Amino acid sequence: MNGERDGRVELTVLGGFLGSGKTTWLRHTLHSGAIDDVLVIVNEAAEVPVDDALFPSGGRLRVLAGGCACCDARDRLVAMLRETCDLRTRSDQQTPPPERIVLETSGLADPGPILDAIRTDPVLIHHLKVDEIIIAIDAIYGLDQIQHEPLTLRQIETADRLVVTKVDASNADDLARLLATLLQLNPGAFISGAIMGSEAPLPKFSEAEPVPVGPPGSQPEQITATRLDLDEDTDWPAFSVWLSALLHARGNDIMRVKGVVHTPAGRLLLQSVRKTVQQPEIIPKEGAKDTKDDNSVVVIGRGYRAEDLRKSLQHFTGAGVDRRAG
Amino acid sequence: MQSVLPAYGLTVHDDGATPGVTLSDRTGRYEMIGDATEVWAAAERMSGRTIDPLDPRFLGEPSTAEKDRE
Repeated sequence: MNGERDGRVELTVLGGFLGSGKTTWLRHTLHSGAIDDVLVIVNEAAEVPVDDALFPSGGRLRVLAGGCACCDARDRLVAMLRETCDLRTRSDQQTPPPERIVLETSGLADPGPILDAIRTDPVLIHHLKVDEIIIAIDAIYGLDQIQHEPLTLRQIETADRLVVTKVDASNADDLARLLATLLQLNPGAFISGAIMGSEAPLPKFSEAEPVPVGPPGSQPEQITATRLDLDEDTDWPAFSVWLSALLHARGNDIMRVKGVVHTPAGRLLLQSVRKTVQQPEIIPKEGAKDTKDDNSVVVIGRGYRAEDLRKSLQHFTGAGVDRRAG
Repeated sequence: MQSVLPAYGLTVHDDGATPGVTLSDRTGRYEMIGDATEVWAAAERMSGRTIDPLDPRFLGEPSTAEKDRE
């Protein structure tokens, strides 16, 4: 986010694999005032947007849900960006149009096709400048993702800046190997560390050996997003047992679980990354932009059938599953 | 847990006095467990199998083991 202004709207693309900490980093960055006059576009592959609930309701925010900005939702992204650029050519605006857009992509998005779409669009090319591509890398799971998820490699290779998140949760040797690997994969990128979005120092890693990253072999099975709608009277202790067992058994295949649920403890944001369930966060209902997608949980992963997730949840929680979900 | 663990020959008991729960098998072996995450790991150790909520036995279908017995 350092380029000189030339009259075009500046676009920052924030990407990174599922659960890599993009939203946490962006929330902190916005809160700290490091970026102002910004429109945030949150892209989520699932039909149920969750991350938008995390942003303050006063800010400018648009949601692009139900498809990756790099493929299924690419045309809608281009239309949304055109619309924003269009505002700048009109003089009847009550509020000035944004100078900058931050696009937080879904964790399954490859930034490459997004950039291609912008650069080949006859309108956007004149009105939008891609300022920086920032990729978040999970300090705990980053090495594993680099070795097993070809998408992670593509994300890293496109980055101008690599933000290694959760650096306090990784041991020093693994972190040094991750940093050495990132440097080898993208020597031109600026690498920084973060803890809960705040900048954090990185250890010296000149002695560390990068992990071997060979040419991608057989393509892993497609990652899918499954929405589980829950009834208001869901048995939450039983749901917690189910989720803990599921993540214990399938945590290598389930990249992400997230949703906003109404429990006796309040309106909770529930999130997991692989086997790690984050401390549930209470989100006030007051001021929420939209609560129609509450009480649904999105499970993103591979190696299972969506209908089996629903049957299993029903077995554990009784009648807690709403079968409307598609 | 009471509805899941018996399928693996295990029972879980909370005496209500001490923190955590006790996981035991049919031979009388037992482990004291702190929380739910630890229960699944301990149950795996004691039963020698992964406690998988997507096992057919929890989907209303015959489990692999049951199919083998047929």
